[in-house]
Amino acid sequence: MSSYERLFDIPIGPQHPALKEPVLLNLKVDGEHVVDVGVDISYNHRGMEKAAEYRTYVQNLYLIERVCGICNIAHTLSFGTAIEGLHGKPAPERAKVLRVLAEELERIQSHLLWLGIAAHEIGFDTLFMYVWLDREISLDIMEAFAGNRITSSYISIGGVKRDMTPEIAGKMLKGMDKLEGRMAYYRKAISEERTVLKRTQGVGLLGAADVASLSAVGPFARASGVAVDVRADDPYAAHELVPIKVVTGDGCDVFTRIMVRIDEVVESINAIRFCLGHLPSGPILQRLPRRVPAGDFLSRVEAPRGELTHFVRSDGSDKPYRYKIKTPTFSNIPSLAKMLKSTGRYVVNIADVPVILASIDPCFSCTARFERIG
Amino acid sequence: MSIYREAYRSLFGKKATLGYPYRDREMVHLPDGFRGRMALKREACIGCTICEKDCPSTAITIIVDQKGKRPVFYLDKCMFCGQCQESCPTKAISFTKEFENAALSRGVMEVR
Amino acid sequence: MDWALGLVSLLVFPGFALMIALSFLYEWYDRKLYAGIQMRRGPLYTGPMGILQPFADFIKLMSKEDLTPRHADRRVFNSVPVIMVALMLTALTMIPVTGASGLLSFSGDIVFAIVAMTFFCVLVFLAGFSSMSRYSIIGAERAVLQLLGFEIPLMLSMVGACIFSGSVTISGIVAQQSGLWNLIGPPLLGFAIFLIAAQAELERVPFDMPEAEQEIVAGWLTEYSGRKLALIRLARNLELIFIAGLAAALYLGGPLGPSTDALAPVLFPLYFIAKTLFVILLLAFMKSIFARVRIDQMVSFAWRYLIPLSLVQIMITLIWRAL
Repeated sequence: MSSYERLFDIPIGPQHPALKEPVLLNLKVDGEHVVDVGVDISYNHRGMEKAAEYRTYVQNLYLIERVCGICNIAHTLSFGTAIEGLHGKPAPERAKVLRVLAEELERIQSHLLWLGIAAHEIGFDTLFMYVWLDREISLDIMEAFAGNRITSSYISIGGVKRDMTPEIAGKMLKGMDKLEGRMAYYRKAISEERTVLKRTQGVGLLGAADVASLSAVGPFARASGVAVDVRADDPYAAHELVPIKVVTGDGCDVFTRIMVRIDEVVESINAIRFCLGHLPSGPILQRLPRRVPAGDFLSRVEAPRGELTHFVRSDGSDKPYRYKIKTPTFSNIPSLAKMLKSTGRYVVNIADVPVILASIDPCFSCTARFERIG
Repeated sequence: MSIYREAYRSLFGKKATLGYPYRDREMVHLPDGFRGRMALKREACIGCTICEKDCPSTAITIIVDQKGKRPVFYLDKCMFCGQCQESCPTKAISFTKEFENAALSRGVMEVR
Repeated sequence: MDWALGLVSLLVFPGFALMIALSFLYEWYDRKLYAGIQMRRGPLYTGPMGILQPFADFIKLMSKEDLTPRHADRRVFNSVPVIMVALMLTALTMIPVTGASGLLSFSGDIVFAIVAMTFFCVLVFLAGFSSMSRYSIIGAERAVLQLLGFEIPLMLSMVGACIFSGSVTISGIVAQQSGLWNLIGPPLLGFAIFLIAAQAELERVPFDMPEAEQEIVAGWLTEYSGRKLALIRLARNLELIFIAGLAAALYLGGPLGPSTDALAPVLFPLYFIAKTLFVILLLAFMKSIFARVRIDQMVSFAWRYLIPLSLVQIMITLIWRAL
């Protein structure tokens, strides 16, 4: 630090072009270098957990779905698993495989969305447009499969709402082939493009020890070599049947996070192919009573952004007594705060802040409860 | 360099954007299961009011007509989740592919 | 009558009116190209193929509320946009459009062109610094830092063209290229360096750090709005013509081309437009296939590669001349 006082605050957020959601990163900068950062995520408290207490379980399905638009299937899957767990009646086998299928399809579109945003944050708008155009393939499949592009309302309590038809399966396989080719292209294009490498390699470093001690989750943690994945660690739905390779990287930087997410999309494509090939026959929905037996249930799901936890306490009525959600972004914020501080030889430029922020795939509106981390 | 080739091809190739509201209307393809404006089969509806109870966004109210109780759907509140179709015991509710439901007055945005 | 003709050529053709009209046309063209590369359609509805969109944007901005921040240095803040437009219109009189020489031509006008470009960056700095906004100050700081990187290669690449043509007037360089363009020869390297440095001068990706949207909102022009923003946008479009016209004059033979005496007044401006559009095509491609680099990376790139390369191209040109 220089001898004279030249630190000043640069607020990034709550409204800022780099952010799609309200968060305040109060950067203390010395010239172009970020010295310190304060994170305030409580700008969009929506009171959804409280609202859930005033709605029936059927209505809550749609409320919970809207916690996060992009990971709507992960949220409803978590909710559905919790309610089925309280009833003690898991979903039928076919529904379980279909759930995995929907979940992986959602992972594809979420990771592609993220890839586009990461490209946008480093000023590479052309890549952003190309990626989002390819994301349309997965969204079109989702629309045909579940009836809507984003908030698909696909999962219901006790199963899923729609069955797979041969036409949709054919369409899906064709789309997966196309996406696989595109992912190979992006892998090549991104690792060849010098300006992208310059902006992402060695940026946002966070070693495996820090990631583990700050309990980070999701692709962000996996890119630092920490193989945490609920799908493998604590299989839910049909994940015991569907083979999934936990993709890890050891670069610990933004570039590795990009590569890990691209590889995860490829893994999801393979998982979807496997699901389509091994779809058991049987019912897709098991009607459950509207009143849920009293008890507690905690369900964990690997959302595209990482581990998602839902907790429900039922008092035997048709409305939950207490509902609690912990989103993956929340787990990653301590790591974010650490990554944004320059320490020693590790220097964070103002220019790196947007892409470091993007690298945890933040979703602040899903996260906002009451916490403040400084 | 591969991004350069892609850029060159895109510049002279077909554009991805549809000129939707004014042209290219025939190019908007909706899949069969799409949930657009809902339709009620009046003769199948038995007036059980389950749809009203289950609707998560209170977009359904029950009125009484000459045949008895029946639902009215308010499109401005509806979020097209499809729960009413799911809950309906007689499959009287269905969703059409009509998606251009926005209007300037609320009176038009009702399905009776 | 001479002065009247002079006034017409200064104010209408090929002077200010033409340049301002072209600036809207070129912005539209640039936006269309950028959109096309991204598989979008770009401006579509205002005028045929959206050709009037930049003009409509200009009118819209002119009618918007014009705010001056309370802590801004009002005099500097308000005068910068006007000076920017005036500077660029003056500089544009030196660009040859209808013949070998521009409206103004004097010995050493190429030096004035360099000064105009540098002064534009100084104005950017003044604009950012007088706004007294955090984002603007960082943008202004970056603009000056960037100037350190790209100005020398920009000048050296122009010097290369001067040496090759043996002239320090734009008209001399253009006249010398009536046979073979400078592009076909040693200044080809200079042309490449000129385009890269011009990208930085114009603050376009990959060198748009002074106004990097995702990092510092809009950089030095964060606080500008309404009429002032409209004028700044106009000035930057004029700068785009200026750079493209300069590239055309120095390397692509200016407006000269195959023609007869009778047709020259019509054909030469058309050649000028065609050549500048080609330069903008190259610039638009560069804008779309890179990510934005960081300011430190940009400066080190300029000093590590661009400046040695531009010295090399001067050396090659000198050797070529000596042979």
